[in-house]
Amino acid sequence: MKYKLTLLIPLLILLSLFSFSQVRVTGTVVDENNDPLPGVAVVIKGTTRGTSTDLDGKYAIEATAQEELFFSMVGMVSQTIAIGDKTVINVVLENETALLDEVIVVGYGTQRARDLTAPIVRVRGEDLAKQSTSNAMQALQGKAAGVQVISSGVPGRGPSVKVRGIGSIGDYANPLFVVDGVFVDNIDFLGSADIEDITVLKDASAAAIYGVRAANGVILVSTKKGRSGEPNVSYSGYLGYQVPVNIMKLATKEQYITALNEANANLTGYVPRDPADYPTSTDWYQELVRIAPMTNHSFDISGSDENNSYSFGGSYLFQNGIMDSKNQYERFNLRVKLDQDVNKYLKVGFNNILSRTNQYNPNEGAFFGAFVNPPVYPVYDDNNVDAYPVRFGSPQSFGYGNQYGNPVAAAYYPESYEKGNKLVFSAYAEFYPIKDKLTFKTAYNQDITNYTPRNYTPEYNVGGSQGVRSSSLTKTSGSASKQILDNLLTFNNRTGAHSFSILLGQSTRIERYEFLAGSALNVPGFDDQSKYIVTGSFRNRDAWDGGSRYHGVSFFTRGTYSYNSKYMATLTFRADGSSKYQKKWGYFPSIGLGWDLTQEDFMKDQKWFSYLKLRGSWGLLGNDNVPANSAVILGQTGPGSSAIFGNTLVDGVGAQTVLQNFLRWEVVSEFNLGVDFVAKNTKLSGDLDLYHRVTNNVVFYAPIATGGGVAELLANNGKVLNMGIELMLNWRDNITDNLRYNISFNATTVHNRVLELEGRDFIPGAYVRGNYTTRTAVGHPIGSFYGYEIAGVYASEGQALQDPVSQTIKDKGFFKYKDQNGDNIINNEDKVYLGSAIPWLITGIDYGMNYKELDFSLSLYSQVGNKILNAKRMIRDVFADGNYDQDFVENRWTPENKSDKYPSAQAYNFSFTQQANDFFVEDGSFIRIQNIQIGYTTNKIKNIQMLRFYISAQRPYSFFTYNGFTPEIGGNPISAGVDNSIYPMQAIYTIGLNANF
Amino acid sequence: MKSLKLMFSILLILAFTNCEDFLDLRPEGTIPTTGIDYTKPENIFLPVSASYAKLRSYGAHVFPYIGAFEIASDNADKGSTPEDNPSMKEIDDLAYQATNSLINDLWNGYFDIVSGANFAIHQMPLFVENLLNAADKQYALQCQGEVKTIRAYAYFNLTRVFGRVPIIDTTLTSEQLASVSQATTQQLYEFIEKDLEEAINVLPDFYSSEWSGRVSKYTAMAIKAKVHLYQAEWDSVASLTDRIIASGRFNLLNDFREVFSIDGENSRESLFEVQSSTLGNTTGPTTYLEYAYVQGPRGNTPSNMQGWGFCTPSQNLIDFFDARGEVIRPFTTLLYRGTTTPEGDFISNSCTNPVYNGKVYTPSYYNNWNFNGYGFDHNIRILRYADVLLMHAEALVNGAAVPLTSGLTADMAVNLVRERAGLDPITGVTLQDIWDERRAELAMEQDRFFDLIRTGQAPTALAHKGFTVGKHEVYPIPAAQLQLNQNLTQNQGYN
Repeated sequence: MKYKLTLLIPLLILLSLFSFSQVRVTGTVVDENNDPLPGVAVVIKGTTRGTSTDLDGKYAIEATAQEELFFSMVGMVSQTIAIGDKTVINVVLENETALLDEVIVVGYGTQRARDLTAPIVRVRGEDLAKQSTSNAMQALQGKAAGVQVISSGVPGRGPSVKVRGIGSIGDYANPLFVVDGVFVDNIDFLGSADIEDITVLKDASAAAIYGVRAANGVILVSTKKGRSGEPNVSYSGYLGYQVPVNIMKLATKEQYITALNEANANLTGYVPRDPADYPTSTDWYQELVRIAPMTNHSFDISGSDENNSYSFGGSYLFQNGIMDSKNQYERFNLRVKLDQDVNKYLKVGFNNILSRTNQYNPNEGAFFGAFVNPPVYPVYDDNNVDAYPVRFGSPQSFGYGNQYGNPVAAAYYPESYEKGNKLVFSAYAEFYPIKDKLTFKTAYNQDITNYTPRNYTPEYNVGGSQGVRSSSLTKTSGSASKQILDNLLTFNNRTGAHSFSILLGQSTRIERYEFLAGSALNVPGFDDQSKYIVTGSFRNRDAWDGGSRYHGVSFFTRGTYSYNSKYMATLTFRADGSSKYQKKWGYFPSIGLGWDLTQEDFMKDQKWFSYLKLRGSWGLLGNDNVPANSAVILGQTGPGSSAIFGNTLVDGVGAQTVLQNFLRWEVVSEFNLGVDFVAKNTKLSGDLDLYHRVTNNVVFYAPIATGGGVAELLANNGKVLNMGIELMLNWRDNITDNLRYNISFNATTVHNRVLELEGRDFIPGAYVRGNYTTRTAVGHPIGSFYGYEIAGVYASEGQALQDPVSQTIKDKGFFKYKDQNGDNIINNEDKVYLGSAIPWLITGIDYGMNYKELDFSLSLYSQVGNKILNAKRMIRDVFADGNYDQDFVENRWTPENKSDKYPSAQAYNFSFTQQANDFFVEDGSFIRIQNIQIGYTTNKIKNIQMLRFYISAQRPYSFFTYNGFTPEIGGNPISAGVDNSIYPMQAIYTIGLNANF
Repeated sequence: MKSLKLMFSILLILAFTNCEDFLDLRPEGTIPTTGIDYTKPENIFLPVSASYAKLRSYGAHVFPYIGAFEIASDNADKGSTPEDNPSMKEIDDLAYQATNSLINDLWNGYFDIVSGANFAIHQMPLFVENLLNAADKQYALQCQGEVKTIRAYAYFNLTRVFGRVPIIDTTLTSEQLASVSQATTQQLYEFIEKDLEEAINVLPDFYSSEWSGRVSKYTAMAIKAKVHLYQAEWDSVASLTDRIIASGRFNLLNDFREVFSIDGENSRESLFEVQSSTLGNTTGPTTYLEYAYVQGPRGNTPSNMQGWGFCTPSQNLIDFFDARGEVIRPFTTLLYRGTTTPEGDFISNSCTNPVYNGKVYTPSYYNNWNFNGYGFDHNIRILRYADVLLMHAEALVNGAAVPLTSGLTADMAVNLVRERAGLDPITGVTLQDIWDERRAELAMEQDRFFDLIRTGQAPTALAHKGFTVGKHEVYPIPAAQLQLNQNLTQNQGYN
């Protein structure tokens, strides 16, 4: 940890450069109508020295020239003014609705919030930085209506993000991220403290300008930039511990053996087992987790003057994994941004973000191993003499099959290390042929990523098939680059009440990805220096490579019009060409309209709203964030396509024998209706949006009928609807001058329906143990679980025999499936839709309170209605003598405890029981305390304008009934929500400090 | 406005230059299949090789295969521990449903072989078209026959397992695949016979030794003979078996045990084997099958002599051998725990099951793949000369009236097999004699289950498993397949 603190030293040196002398500053504070404002707090920024205005709005205060005055009042927009050599400072405070004049970053430009015709959510970086998450998107969870964030506990792994339900399929349903104009796939390379703000563009009219990648929403990220005035130097950092939470309980040795003996009592040849024959009771989950540290340090230095602005910042993050093996994530960032006005006609600038990562990835499969492995053998076993280099215990020593392997050893031996370098670079030149009216901008953006995974497995043996005779090393060197060249011509004009703008643009994209990989055997594993292919055996060395390339060209135009900010319109039109489709070109229009009702005469006398705007939009958006499709059938080569004759491989070329589909553009068609309002008292404000988006020609890999040599094919598979309501409400108030609080609430509903499947009735998905468990079917959500409903469990053989309904197995302890069609036979026709992984309601609540120097905040997050297939329980065909989870063991049907929900241990092993039904499909609803934080701010320390200490708990408590580590299970939409056992989640307890100098 | 116009025109010129070329990309690191150079004779074998590679299939030739073809019969039990793998237990007990994943694996495995063969079959005419040398053109046609044999073999197994499956013989669209209907068993056999007939006409009698294991004319004949055997077309069986026998290229190895050893692979007794090899490596790409491994002794030591312990010889089979007073064949077929093999491996007393399939036994010095690679170099014996002799005999006993070149009578054929097994010759062989000889000779080689069905012995031999006439002759069409192609209909008794 020591070297992480060294970052602080240059900052401390900077501190000593400042010196001060006191002057008296006076002035008057008035409102927009020039009426004096009494009771306005006037504070020297970053201190507690302050006063308030008198009845005439006047104030007087002692301050130094280097300090800044901070004017604040409830319902008014606060202002900060640098003192400099001024002794009289008069201020006009604007009504809070003036927030609406804030400039919002929209695609290829900015717009005043007041003029927007689209629903846009803006989240400030400081609200994200408050949370101790390794990833800024993680911190966005529950902060923005319409945005679903599915988190992961693996160090360094970013969450998956969905905007407004699921239209597209697969990883391709992710929104577009644009960091300072550069298109990127995610923002894992940024720390929260690097971010100035995040703007989410949700509807077609706003996102249209980003076209081909915007169909699933756009997340615009602006990194910190220089502000006018004194240079700003800031530091923020925290130290914390991650504690694994909601670790499932597994059966103990005694419970396991009791249930196992019950399960197999009727099996000929089965010899009941005796707990006394086994040495120990191991809780494999507990053996695999640990408490792990995490720390983050960030700094930013920024400023600007008349002709230039700059920002320089960096951050360092270290996160150890909560899996008890070598898994950790380390990220180091540096940002430099500079904008320069060259002369009246020309402005240039560049932005560089360098990010370096080092990580050891966990073997997540060990968690599945921990779930199934019997608890009866020890982690380490000196009697297992074949095991080396570590004497791990082996399930084979206790008669178990080769499908079992020691999970701790599985986590321990393979080492997966990855180094990454990312450079996000953008440069632009802006030319003003007619100042303030006509702008030509050309911008070049590049996102270059190099990554070098290294997988090393030492020579080891545990037992059974868990062991390798030769150490092996595989190294990959990969690089990905995305280049975008944009040319934009913008014309702005304002004549009287009319203001309008026209944008003409053209964009060219080239994306490339290449890798070269090699492997060797018998590589000595002394240390990192020895893990090279050259140190291994020269025999059996292997090399391979691969790559991809996509091109895109777009032409687009946008016109905006505003009449006195009362009536607004935005029109866009795009022509997009993409190499990924066989029909290359798509054409996409959009329109957005806005109406500020409060400016109308008939609204003058109402006393409810100080601001009320209606918005409406419609648009088409093409999506090319899909896998590239090849029109031709491609050859398959390699050992898998090569025959053997006389112990020699003979080169072969194979290929599928099903034709590739002709791929057309996936097009989103979206309607949006919205209201923005600020209440008269200005304490309450909010937005309400109704959205209706239909994804046409939705592109995904769908399973196809057998016989073509491939199991699935990329195709335009139909039409999907997502519709719902998004609501954001904010309330802020002062109880006393010292006690202020605010509450914000947001809610999103998602109604997902498949409207059409190109003539198919359904597409099966989520193949579990030989059978499909989901159906993507017309009239149901994408990837709905499909199976039997359980009507109960037969209490006795007699009861089962008397039941007129016949099913394959009828016996005590077996499920009685519900006869949906009343024909007294349980068969395929009795299967029903059992819900999907898509929650219908997502809500977030943020509460914040300030009392003098203390602040407190609390965030809650919840999801309602998502279902999870507990597939890790559906493994008993292969792991028939595997362990049970404690919930099952405690609730299983026994003659003494006749459950009507849980089967008997015997029935549990039958494939008749082990198929999709509502025992395995569980409710994934949850509510979680996302963050609790208490902070103390002081400015009494010399040379430090502001210093804040805080303690925080991230995700300290989640409430859910699902039998797993976490109800946040992602996955490809047609098979989402299938839990085959995943990395657990962690609570993070931190202490931190923020300082401004 | 002048500058605006200028800029706009530059922009358009830049953008539209070669726009369509710019957007038309083939994936990196690939070749288009139409990009195989058909003018080069050395490329002819490329698609054929890939077609052979498809035979190395878990679904078609490993775990599901031993289940549906042997464990379901009276020769073998599920094996392993009683509780292990309920899906396989269902197959052993003839208690499977259409949802049984192993049955779906079989379907997928064989159709994958069909697809690989279809690809190669349709590549060959392109070589014939583009090659100039007549001998090269002839070689392409010969290779096509080779692959048709593979396709016919896959369809023969599909037909035996499922009774009715769709005939797919070319490249289709996914919509066509999802709507193709099942052919009748009769149509399937016609399709298979046509492929084999065409193959026999073009295939060579033999290959040079570096190609050992390649499909020859006699491979196609032997498979065709078996296809006719399953239809009781005795004349056709006899004329084919006669040609194979008369060719003089095949004979029984003297030592029964050698047939199943690594050295006995692709021997003079072999007509068709699925090749499995670790290529002498200890790790690397998977070029082997776990066919022997899944049947290896469970709980044995050391770990390279240890398998999953499935498909264990049944007491019924052991009693059968005992009743016949056999010594040689059971010694190789049955691998008992607590014994030492002639090759020097002690089979541990701590093994889970008392006896394992000895025909997949692979001595420890061949098992060098990691610590646990038992039998990865063991080829699957699909069809061997002993089978040909017994088919010959059966056809003759059933009255096949074709002129014989070989001059081998039914008695002579059966006695060749018996002689090697150390049994006394018999005369006037009956059908039951031949069926019993088949059982003794081919036990644990995945012939028994469908032999019982074919000969009508199943209802009695499998009565203890609840064999139902009109149902268990074929397996159910997998539930997953019924989801993917809604024109498929379920087999009788499984709805």
